[in-house]
Amino acid sequence: MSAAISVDRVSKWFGDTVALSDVSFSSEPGVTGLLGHNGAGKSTLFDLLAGFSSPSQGTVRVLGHDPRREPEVHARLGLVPDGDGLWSFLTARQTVAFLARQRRVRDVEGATAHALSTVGLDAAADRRVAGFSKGMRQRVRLAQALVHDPEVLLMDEPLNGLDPAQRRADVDLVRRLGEQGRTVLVSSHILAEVERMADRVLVVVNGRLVAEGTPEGVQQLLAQSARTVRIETDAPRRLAALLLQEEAVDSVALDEDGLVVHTSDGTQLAVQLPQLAAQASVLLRRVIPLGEDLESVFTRLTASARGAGR
Amino acid sequence: MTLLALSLRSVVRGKRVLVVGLLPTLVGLIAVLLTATADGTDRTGAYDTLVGDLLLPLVVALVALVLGVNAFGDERDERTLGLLLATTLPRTAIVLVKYAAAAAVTWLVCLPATLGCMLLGTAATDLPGGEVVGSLLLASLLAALAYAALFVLLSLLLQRAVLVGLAYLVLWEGLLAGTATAFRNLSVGAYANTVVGAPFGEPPFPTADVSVVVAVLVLVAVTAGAVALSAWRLPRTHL
Repeated sequence: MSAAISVDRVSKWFGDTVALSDVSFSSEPGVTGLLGHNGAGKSTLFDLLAGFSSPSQGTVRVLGHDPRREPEVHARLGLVPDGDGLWSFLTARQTVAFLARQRRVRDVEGATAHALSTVGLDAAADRRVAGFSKGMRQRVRLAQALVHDPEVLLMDEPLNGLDPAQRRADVDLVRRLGEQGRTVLVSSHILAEVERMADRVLVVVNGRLVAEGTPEGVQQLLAQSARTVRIETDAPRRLAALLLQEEAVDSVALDEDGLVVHTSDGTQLAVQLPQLAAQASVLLRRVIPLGEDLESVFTRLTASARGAGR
Repeated sequence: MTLLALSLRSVVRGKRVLVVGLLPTLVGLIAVLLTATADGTDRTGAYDTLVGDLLLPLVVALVALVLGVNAFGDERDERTLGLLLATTLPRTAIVLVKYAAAAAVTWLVCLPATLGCMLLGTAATDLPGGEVVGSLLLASLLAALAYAALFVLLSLLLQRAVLVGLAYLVLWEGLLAGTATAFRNLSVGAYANTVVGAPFGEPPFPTADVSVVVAVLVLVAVTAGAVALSAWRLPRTHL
């Protein structure tokens, strides 16, 4: 069986602007987080997956179907589009019921009631959404994405504009949806949120997929390219002098019982350090990667990938 | 709720439809007043003016502009197009139904003006009554269908469809086609006027240089072409 979501060598450009560049990934059941700054190409990717536009190159498949040619796929696909759009003249219940019917739900009334209660909107279900707060609007938009019990869920920045309590509730909801065996793709530009929701993270920077893996794995992967390492040794000065002759080492700082090394290539340093230590008979007590938080890794990656897209 | 119900509610919601309805209501009232007050010769001249210069090229066209452009304009402004497309509905069906709602409401909103003209034409002129009624109903329906189709298409092609549509009505349909006979065969209003001019031997207002049957066919073809282009265009609209 093919993956629920499969994106193969997809590029998308609008005129001269490259929105996505050679992106490939596939998603299995569980929550996949799509991490990227605003304008990184997240919404472009969602548009492609929902069939709202065609890739300039490459193929997009959802549940084995081409979403562009087969709107039928929306019977098994839930979408929370970017923004807070709703028909202001409808009530929450009318909105969810209308969309349920347009996705071939059999028991529209029952499914609508269930979806509204899942997102905690029972009490306000029969009020017009025109008077709703941003958080309540988002609840309606979540409910409509769940009403047809879809196998695949696409959520574009679902936590945007929510207060902290709602964020927590929605993080839990997204986790639950993943645990139920659905394939959930959820985007955010906030790292802490993605880490809490997703089993797997894709990092998109300027239209390129720059990293993927578990939240921890991605953190490590990202950290490998350039990082700061703290080394505790019996001969800090001698080791510092040797390290400074290496090309991969940018700077070395000495402190009480060790040294802090900044490197442009952590992988190379990891190879060279034991060799150097062995040659000079220096004892390495501890080598500690100084944790770079995802935020700064992300910022750095964004800076280094600038120019690849908009 | 069906897509048609949603589309109809979307067209008639709020104050817009009331504001838009003012113009046809006024024209209808004027027609009734003229029927009651003016004498014989005035009435025939009044019927020419109301039907040929106001009803189709102005009243129906303006109502169709506002309602047609907003059929998808509202979805775009409220950012609901993404929800509407996240359904199994065939894209062609979405265009057809939203267009049909806009065209039907356009015709209904213009009905006070159409009925007023009908009263004036049957009660106060020498024109054959049955032909007056038939030509008014058919011409207003065809004009509503064609104008609405054009403006729905325009809204899917351009961001500022209201302004462009207004410029088209004033400059092209009004100025060029209204004064220069060479452009008349390229104006929706002129074809609609050909249909509504059927009861006259020689209509005293600008018409297209074709027979009534050809005019009907042209309006139907314009409608079908514009709707087909809209159906092609919707999936290519960038949300």
